[in-house]
Amino acid sequence: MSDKDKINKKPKGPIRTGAVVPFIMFVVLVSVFNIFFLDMTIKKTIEFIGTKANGAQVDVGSVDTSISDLRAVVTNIEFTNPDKPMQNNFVIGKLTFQALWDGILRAKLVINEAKLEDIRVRTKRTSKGYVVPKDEAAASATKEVLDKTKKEFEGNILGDVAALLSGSGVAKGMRVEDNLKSKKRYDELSLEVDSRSKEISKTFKDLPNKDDLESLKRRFNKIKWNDIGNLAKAPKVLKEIDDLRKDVDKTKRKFEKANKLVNKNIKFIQNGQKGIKNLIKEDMASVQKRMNLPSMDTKTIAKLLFGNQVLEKIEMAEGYYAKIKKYLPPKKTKEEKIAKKPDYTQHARGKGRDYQFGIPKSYPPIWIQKVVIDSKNDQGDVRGEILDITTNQRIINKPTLLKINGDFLSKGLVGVVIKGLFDHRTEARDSVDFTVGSYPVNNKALSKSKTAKLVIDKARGNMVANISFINDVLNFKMKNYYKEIKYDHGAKDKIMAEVLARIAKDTKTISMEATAKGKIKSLKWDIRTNLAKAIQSSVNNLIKEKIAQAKKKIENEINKAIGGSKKEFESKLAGFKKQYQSQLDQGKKQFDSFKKDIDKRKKKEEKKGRKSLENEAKKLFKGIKF
Amino acid sequence: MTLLLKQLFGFLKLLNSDKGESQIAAGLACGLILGFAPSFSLQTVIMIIVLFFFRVQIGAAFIGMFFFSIVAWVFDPVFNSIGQVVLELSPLNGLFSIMYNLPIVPFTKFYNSIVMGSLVLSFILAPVVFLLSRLMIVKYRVAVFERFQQSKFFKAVKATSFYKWYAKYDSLYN
Repeated sequence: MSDKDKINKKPKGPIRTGAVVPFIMFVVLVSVFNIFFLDMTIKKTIEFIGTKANGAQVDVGSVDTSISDLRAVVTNIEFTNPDKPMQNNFVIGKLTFQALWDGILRAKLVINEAKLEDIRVRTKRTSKGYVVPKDEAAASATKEVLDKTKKEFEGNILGDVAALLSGSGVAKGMRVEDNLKSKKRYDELSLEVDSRSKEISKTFKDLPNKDDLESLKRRFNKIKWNDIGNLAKAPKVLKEIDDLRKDVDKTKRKFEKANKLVNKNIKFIQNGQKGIKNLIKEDMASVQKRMNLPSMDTKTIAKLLFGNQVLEKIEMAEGYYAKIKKYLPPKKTKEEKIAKKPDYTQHARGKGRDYQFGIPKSYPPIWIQKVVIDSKNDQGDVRGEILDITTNQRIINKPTLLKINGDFLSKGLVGVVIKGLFDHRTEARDSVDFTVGSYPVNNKALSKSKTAKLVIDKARGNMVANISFINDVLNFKMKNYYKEIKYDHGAKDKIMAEVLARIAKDTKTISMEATAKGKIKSLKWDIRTNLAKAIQSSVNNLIKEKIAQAKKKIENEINKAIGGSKKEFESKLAGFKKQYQSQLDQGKKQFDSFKKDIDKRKKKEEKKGRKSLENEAKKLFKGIKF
Repeated sequence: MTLLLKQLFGFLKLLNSDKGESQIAAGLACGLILGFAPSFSLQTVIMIIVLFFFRVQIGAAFIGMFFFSIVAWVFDPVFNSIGQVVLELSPLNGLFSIMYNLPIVPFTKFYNSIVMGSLVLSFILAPVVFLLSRLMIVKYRVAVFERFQQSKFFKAVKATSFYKWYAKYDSLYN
């Protein structure tokens, strides 16, 4: 390029005209991606988010979208059962929805109406579904509590009764003295006495001894008591006496202080003894449980028969509640807002805080206004609707409502009604009513062991349940009826077999009512069933005496086991009292009597001095006439 | 990668020429806005379109973006505080409510404290960066590049056949 060309070259303007073609190419590429790959991207997104929310693999058959009217048809959505990965909890055959352009342009997903069709439950999977590993740290607290309750409900009432009848009930060779809380407490208290005794000994070393008393006595003897009668010397002598008295008092106070310390320690140890009675009761219950000694009150029997069945339902409800709370958090309190301020030190670029400037007609980030469920297939019919599924109920000021009716005739499920209310506008208030008109019961073990079994082989069940969580406080009510029952029962022991046959014959229907209230960590349970009463009345007379005998035996064994520790502790405590109390009393007595000696002598010498002064005065005034 | 390298070489060439200081400065200012933005949002798209359609030195914008994103990483808490103050200003609440519910605008993610903080700071600092960098480019050309051109080393490089070949190639194709 010559210099002339350079000079003639037009200066380039601020617009890069050459960029138009690449820009058009870019737009074309994006459009092509949308046409060919958008469906695939949405499919993968649904699967990814669905898997996280479901806790197990979610598969989507196909997604067909139409950009112009924002319509999407999703087919064959399979939700794997996290507990049985080879089974789907349910499958949605067809999901149709249409989003609003108005919402999309505001970066919000608003769907007027979604439609669910062809729903199937408990279908087999072709391959094992992936199960998301549970967040153990988050679930541990609740899980721990529920596992503990589960253990409480574990047990086999009829097996224990059968074992007791056959004489093998109380486990032979079991050492009663193992892990006795009361024995442990006595041993602890003995050690406490020893350690406190050592501490007190140190204090006692500093207490005044014979030498101190002798030194004070020497001071007493050095006082010129006769000078009290001398007007010039009396004040000095009186001051010496007063000082001596004060020092005796001071020394005496040391004994009083030590006395208080001893009494305080004795009181502490005696208080420690108070809880031992309860510990003995706990030991009794624990040994009875270890020895499979059945408790024959109806509440315990009911818990052992149906406790874990109820607990399973609560565990499931708690899991759903936690998930709803995660995706639909209630309004935060001021304290929570402060505590949840984002931390900017640990991530590459901070996430910041998203503000919401909602006005009455604004959209929340996600809002599905209505889901219509209309499914009819060979499994059965499901109809219903879910209203206002959203990520922020406060903006739309509506709770999420759910109402589903269904009959799965092929599975024997008739009259399934689910009504739900999920209100997280201020505090978390979730409530679900669940009714199943009739369902088949197969092979439901009420009590099963090698020695005795009572199983509902076949029956028709009916269930009404209400579960509500208000600010993490659970209120659970459940009524369960079993009718047309065919039992499978039997026992090795002949008497027990007869008892079971009688229970089966008399109990044509079983009713069970369960309630649980409170926070998951401290649930108050109440389970009642007519079957518990039937078992109690049939078995009680047979084993009442045997249980009483076994209990007495256990009590004696416990008393024997703790006897040594108890005796040792009591003798130590008595020795402790005796040793220190007598020492203190003796020392205090000596100083008291010494103080009395001082006072007595002072009084005597004062009297004597006064008399001699009077005599001298009389001598002085003798012969003087007034 | 070739495109990126081409832009970077273009930047070096323009920096060491006697023209285009405003283009480079504008590129650096755009780089500041891009680098401060914490995530991909509408303003990022707008900035890319600006880079694309206006004669702004893209290489400078890339270098600016790289440098300022490191600075932003350190100053995120500051952006967050500024963003919170702005978003919580009650006189602006009405405006934000309207913006929040307008179509398209929410894609800017203005409602995020870090986005808002970085946006406010980058709008304030962009003109400053533009003016300062233009001044520094001029000074650099006089104080550094002129001297470098007079150095024996540069003269030796200029004398090599490789440089002559490059100069010829550059005059013919660029």
